[in-house]
Amino acid sequence: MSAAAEALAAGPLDFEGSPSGLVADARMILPLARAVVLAVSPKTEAAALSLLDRFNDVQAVSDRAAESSKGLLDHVEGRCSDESLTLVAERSRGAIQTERDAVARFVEGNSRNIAKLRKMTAEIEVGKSLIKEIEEITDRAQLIAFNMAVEAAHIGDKGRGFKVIVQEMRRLNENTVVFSGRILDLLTRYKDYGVVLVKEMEEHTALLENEVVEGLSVSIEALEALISSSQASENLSCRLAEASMEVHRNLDKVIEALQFQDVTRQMLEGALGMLDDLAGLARKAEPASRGAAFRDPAALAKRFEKFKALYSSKAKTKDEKVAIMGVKL
Amino acid sequence: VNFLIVDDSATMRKIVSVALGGAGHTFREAENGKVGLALAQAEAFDCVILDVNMPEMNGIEFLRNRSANPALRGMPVIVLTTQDEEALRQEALGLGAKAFLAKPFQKEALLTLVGSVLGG
Repeated sequence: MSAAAEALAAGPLDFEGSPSGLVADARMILPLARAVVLAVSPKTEAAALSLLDRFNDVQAVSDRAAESSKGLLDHVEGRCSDESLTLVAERSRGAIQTERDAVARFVEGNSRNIAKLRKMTAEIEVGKSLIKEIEEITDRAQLIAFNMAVEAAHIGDKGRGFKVIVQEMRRLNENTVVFSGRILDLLTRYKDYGVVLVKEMEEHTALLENEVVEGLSVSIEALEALISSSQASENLSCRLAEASMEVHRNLDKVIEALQFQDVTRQMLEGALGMLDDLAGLARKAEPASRGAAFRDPAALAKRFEKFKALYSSKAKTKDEKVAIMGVKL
Repeated sequence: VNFLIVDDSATMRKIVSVALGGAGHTFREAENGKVGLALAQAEAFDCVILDVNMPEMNGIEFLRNRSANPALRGMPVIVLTTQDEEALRQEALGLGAKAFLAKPFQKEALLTLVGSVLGG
């Protein structure tokens, strides 16, 4: 058991009524009070300085963040030039919308052309069937010419004129067959071209719809995201500026509040002065009141330990206990 | 702006420098009037922020010494003290202090005074 605990366990502390005892007690209690008061100031001052430093750092960081954000916004929004990103993005969005409308009109026109081409191809097929009918007519005309030639041969010299006409008919028929064949070839090629054209137009229209229109949609989405980000950046910058102002206002309050630490320190210095005066009075009173209380140093030491144990047990903080226990008689 | 802050409290010296907004200014500190006076004699300051209640040499003694020294008379002084008493205020102003501000002070009040002292 420590000396202090032993002293405390020995029983309650009675204050002596004699002047000698009072002076002796005062001379023991005053250094304890002084030690406690002295322990207050350095700790609170260090805490106040640390708090102020941290808050100052927060303010500096907040200022830098707000400044950087403002710089970024100025750059993004083109506040230093005529062009704002939002304005450019909005104009681009309008241009892309116009392009998309134009492509949609082109696709629609193309679809109409494809339908017309299909109709034309179908009509070429009708033309081909007409040519086939001409070929049949020509075959029949050939047969008639042949019969006429036979009949002309039966009537001898009188049929010689018919023979010339029949030969002319045959030549005409042969020419008709040749031209019909050429027209049929031509119509077949037209039809083939038409089929290829329809196929290619359909493919290119699909490509235009799938890739270009989709690409334009993606561009519009990207622009929307850009505009939205730009607005979000502006909002963020405003919030950062507000936060920075709030930090400044808070620092002003911290500055005011921390001054009370200095007021407290000065009040403690005043209290210390009073304690020192009291200690001086007790020292002066000691020779006059030197009685039984001062004759036994061992009893004085024991009583001092008892005071330390008493006030240490009443101490609210560790620092107060340490200050009390560090005082020597 | 080159400031001299004379105060026996390290916290107050720090508070004043933070309140004056450190960036762009220089601050020299003294823990009492005697050290402050020595610094003022060695270096020119645009403004002195002076406490009154200090050990070794208090603020009033600092002002008296300053008045007695022609080289220091033009150096503007703002008294910043917890002793908000009219008699002390008059004494400080009578000894050449430009302004008198009671602690705890508000940042804006200090900035306004410093602005008017430096502007004037």
